[in-house]
Formats: sequence, structure tokens, C-alpha cells
Amino acid sequence: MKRLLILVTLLAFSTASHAATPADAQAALANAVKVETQAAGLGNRWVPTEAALKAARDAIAKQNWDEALAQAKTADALAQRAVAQSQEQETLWRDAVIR
Amino acid sequence: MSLRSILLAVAALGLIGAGPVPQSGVAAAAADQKAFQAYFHDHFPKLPTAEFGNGPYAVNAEMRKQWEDIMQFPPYDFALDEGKTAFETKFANGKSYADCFADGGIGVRQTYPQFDAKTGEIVTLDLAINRCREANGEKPLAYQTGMMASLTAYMAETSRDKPFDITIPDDPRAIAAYEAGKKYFYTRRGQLNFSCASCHVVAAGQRMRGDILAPAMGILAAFPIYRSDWGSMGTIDRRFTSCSSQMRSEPLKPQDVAYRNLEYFLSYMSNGVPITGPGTRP
Amino acid sequence: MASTIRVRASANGTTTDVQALIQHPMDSGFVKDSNGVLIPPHHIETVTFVYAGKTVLTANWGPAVSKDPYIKFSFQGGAKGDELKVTWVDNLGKTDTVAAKIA
Repeated sequence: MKRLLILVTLLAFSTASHAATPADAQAALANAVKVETQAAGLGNRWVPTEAALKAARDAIAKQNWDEALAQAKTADALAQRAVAQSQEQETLWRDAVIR
Repeated sequence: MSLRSILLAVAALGLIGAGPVPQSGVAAAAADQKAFQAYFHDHFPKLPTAEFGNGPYAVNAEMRKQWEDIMQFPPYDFALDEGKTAFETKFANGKSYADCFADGGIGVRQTYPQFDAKTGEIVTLDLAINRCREANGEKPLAYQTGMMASLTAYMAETSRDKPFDITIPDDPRAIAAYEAGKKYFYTRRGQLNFSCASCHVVAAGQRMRGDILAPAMGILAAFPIYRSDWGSMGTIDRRFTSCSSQMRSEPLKPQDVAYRNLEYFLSYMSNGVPITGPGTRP
Repeated sequence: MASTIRVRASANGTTTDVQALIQHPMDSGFVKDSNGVLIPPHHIETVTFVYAGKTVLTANWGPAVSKDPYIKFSFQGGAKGDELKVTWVDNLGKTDTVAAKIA
């Protein structure tokens, strides 16, 4: 969780260096949606990912490209973690089974 | 040692380690259930099997006292009355719910979920009710609350004190559904990285904020419940979806295959625990 | 049409114990529905319990009491077989009443 917070904070700050273009924002959103679709296929969509995607879409609608980019990158990071979680759990779940 | 003899030795050790229990199948499921119940009896040695259907009230004396007070006038009473009336009302085509269920639907709740050999899927009581409605020209009910909760409350009441009696037939599809439910139960998901087991096995009986975590054994016995937190009735679906959200995992749709398989697994693990539904919870 | 009031009263020596469960939405008027529209206030204002012509309890509820309220209290007096009358009135002027026998 702490690693995730640090990662997300770094990502947020890294996008502040230059103004985002609409193309940046749209591409980031498309990317995040792609990863989230993968997470969905694994049955593991996260609530905060969906919230960040919605925030990105809302920001695009308001033409707030910086915000959209930031939210899309957050969504992307969260979705990637979800995919990793599912992949790890493919083998790890058995350890938790009551024997 | 040659590579071949090393591989043979490892394979042999692997076979010895696995023991006589097969990887999956009816016997494996029975062994799971035995280990599951032994775990909970070990952790709650003072609890008779019958008490496992009472969730937090079985493991916390102060909450139990409040519960006993509330049960003098169960908050699910209104839903129960509504459910009984609805259950006994004929459909437009003259048939009724009784025509869809064994024993007229009275005293059968403890056998659900069931494996349906015709469709190869797990059928919960809620799904069976809607299948019954659709087969008789009625619109299906929304899941989670409302009339679905009232109907299942009545059917649960007719099964009160009957022990869970779930069957896993020797059919690969039933076994696969059971195994899928078992995997779901133990798999971590959501931003909070919890599995069902994280709270209801590892931390059963302990507090999570103001709540007492119920042991997984018997956890579905009291459904549908009037939950004070909701101020209304809720079915198993309602709890599955709301719990998913609480783990910051996007909930699946009510009666999603994954939820039905989970209910199958949890109910089978609770065989022998008497139905305590409809129930009330904090 | 079933009553919205369920009452159980039992005589206990010199006192009578009373419990009642009342079916009512008890909308405070502060809650919005799923469309963001305020649900208008609809809650019980008073509940009265009358025994032998005398009011033994008046409950002044209002928006702070939750849906389907439950009340439990005891009063001095009361005998088995006697009648206890329970009445509620809400902010919309609706009302319901029931007469229960003390057990």
C-alpha cells in the first residue's frame, strides 16, 4: 500500500512539468482503459480505478487536459496493480486454504 | 545421479507428499469441509455447531444481549409477512411458487444452492424464485432487497433450525463450480487486498472498526437479514456486492456466476449448521 | 389492512412492561433519493399509550428517529386482560391506532 502511494504521488508530480495536450490525455485514458479491461477479464476491477477513469473522462469533457492526464495515469497504475494482484493470487491463493 | 533418477525421485516425493486425497472431486470437497469445520471448532471451542449461524452474536456477549432484546420484535417481521402473502398468492396463470419447488417450497431453503444438471450451473434460491416467475409468465424480481428479500425471508423461516444440506454430485461441472467458489473465497482482491478468508477465517471473531467479524462457517445461515446499517432487508447478493465495494473491489452483478459459486462453496462448508434466517444484524 | 403497530404488553406484579414496533418510513426530510431529489419529511410526531383512560406515555418523535421504530418501556399499574391503546400521529396528519390486551 505505501509503495503504491509513493508511486502514485511520483506519477502525479511527474505530470506537472509541462501542460498536457488533448492527445496526451486521450492516449493516457485509452491506455488505462486497456489495462482496466485486462483487470476486468481477471474479475478484479478496483473501485478507485473506476473512480479515476470517470474523473479522467469528466476532465476531458471539461477540456481540463492536465487533470485528465493525471487521473488517467492514476487509473493506469491502479489497474496494473490489480492485474499483478490477480496474477500473483493465481498461485498464492492455495496457501490460504484451510487444510 | 542421472537427471532421470532425480526427476523420478522428485515425482515420487511429490506423490507421497500429496497423500491419499485427490486434487479435486467429491472426496476432496468433503475433506475440505472437514478441515474447515475443524478449524472453526478449534478456534471457537465453546460454540456448538448450532451457534455458528448467529455470526457476531455467537462470539460477543454484549452484542448478544442487544440481539436478544431486538429479537423480541424482529425487525424483519414486516418483510416476513409480506413474503408469506406473496408466496401464497397465485400467478396470473393460476400457478404459484409451490409448483416450482420440492415440498411446495416449504422447508427447502437449506438445500440451496443446488447444482442443476440440466443447465450445468449452480442455482441459488433467489435465482430459482426468478426462474419460477419467468416460467410462469411473471417478470423477474430485482435482487438484493425488496420482494426478493421478503420471499426468501419466508422460505428461510419455513426452514428455521434445519441444518444446511448442500450436495455436490459427482459431476465435473458441479465440482468445477465448487472449486471456483473455493478459489474465489481464498483469493485476495480489491485495493484493500483482502480475500473473504482474510476477515472471516483469519480474523473471525475479532473487530474491524466497530463490527465483529463473523466466522465463515455458517455465515449465510441467517440470510436474508435485516441489517441495521441498511435500515432494510438484504439478501446474500446484497452482502456480497456491498462487501466487494468495501474491499474497494468493483462488485459483480447480483447472481453473477462467481457469486453463485461462492455461495455454493460457503454453504457446503456450513453443512450441519442450522438455518437461522431470516435474521437481524448490526 | 394489517395494523402498522405491533404491541406486546405484560403485567409484572405492580408494573406493566410494554414493547411496540411501528412500521413507518420516518423520513427526516434531509435525505436525497438516487436522483438527488430531497425525500419530503414524513415522520411520526407523537405516540401515545393510554391505559384506563390515562396516558401512561407520550413519545415526541420527529426526524431524528429511524425507520420502523421500536420502543420499550414500563409503567406503574396495569393488570392482565386490561386494554392498552396505542396511537401515533405523523407530520402529514396520518394516524393509526391499536388496542392490545395486557398479557
